[in-house]
Amino acid sequence: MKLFTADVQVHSCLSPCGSLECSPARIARAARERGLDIIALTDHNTAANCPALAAVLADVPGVTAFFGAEVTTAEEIHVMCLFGDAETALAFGEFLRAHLPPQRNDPGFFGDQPVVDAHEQILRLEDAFLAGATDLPLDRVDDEVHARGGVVIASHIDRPVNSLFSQLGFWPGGVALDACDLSPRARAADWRGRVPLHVPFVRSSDAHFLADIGRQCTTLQMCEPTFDEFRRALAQQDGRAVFCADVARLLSSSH
Amino acid sequence: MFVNLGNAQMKLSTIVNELQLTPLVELCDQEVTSAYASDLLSDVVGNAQAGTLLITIQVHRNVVAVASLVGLSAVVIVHGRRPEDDVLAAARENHINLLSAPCTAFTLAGRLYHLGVRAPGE
Repeated sequence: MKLFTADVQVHSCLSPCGSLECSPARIARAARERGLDIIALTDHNTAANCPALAAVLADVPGVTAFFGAEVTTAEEIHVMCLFGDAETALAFGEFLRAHLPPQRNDPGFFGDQPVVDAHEQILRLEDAFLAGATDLPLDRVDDEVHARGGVVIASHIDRPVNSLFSQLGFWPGGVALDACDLSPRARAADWRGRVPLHVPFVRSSDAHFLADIGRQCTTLQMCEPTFDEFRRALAQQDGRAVFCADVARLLSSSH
Repeated sequence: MFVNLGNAQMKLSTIVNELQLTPLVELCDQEVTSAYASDLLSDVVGNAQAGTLLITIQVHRNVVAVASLVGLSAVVIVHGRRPEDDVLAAARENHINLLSAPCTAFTLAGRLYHLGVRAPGE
């Protein structure tokens, strides 16, 4: 077993709120420079920039990518839906497209949504309303992702907007979430009692700017940096484990 | 002249008849002590009280759990949204008065206010 550093939530320029500097090429470079072993690309309700990241990583040794999207469910809960390869993520993105609201993106208000290639060339401007909510209930997203071999992680569960707890009040029965993501200031101890014990916590940067990539990470104990191992680590199988430090606590204790 | 001296208690059956709400499960009549409109269940847990009628477009089955936890007198799903069958089953099992109304939350709240129902604590 080895330890791997993972940032499982990074947005690219395709997210309406993502900085235009966040091309897949620069995300991959930033990940390597900061010593990350694993990054996951999770744009809002789309996976269209995943093929570019996959192509870039062929030239960036030592960094493994997971591919997916941060889906807004019908309840307006944000969940990260991750897959092991860009093709599966892309197909899932096409599935999402049919469940987005009919409005078009207003670039003046939400920002441009460029789909780019590995060389930072704009292939097209996505005009779907990615900032909106899908019409897919949480259960449906959960089932769909698992049927496609992915994992589902509830985003920033401690936040007062778009989180599992802000929208639903408490943990919903019968849903098979693979992990819960905590914001930097959240203390795991404050949330442990509200989440089933078998569901691990992770931390991620939720980076919308290059400077933020890797700012919050999760340490994964597993055999190799593959998606299958990641899934087994989240399930804490056979000695695999997920470590997620209370960053705010560490910072305060250093003073 | 009609002078409202505070939150009028009212039977759910009276409200159902006056506002022509559609029961989604068999109703168990009780007093409606107040009404609250919200789609965030964390907010409902924090601000509704026992006897409150909830106006919402939230159709996740946790709405039934919150109704049970808080002791809501009824949950009215507005604007024509339809809960899934498992939500209806949970409402039946937990004896939660689940209803629907085709109008918006705004309109239903206005009609309830006109009947004399007020927010919790008002």
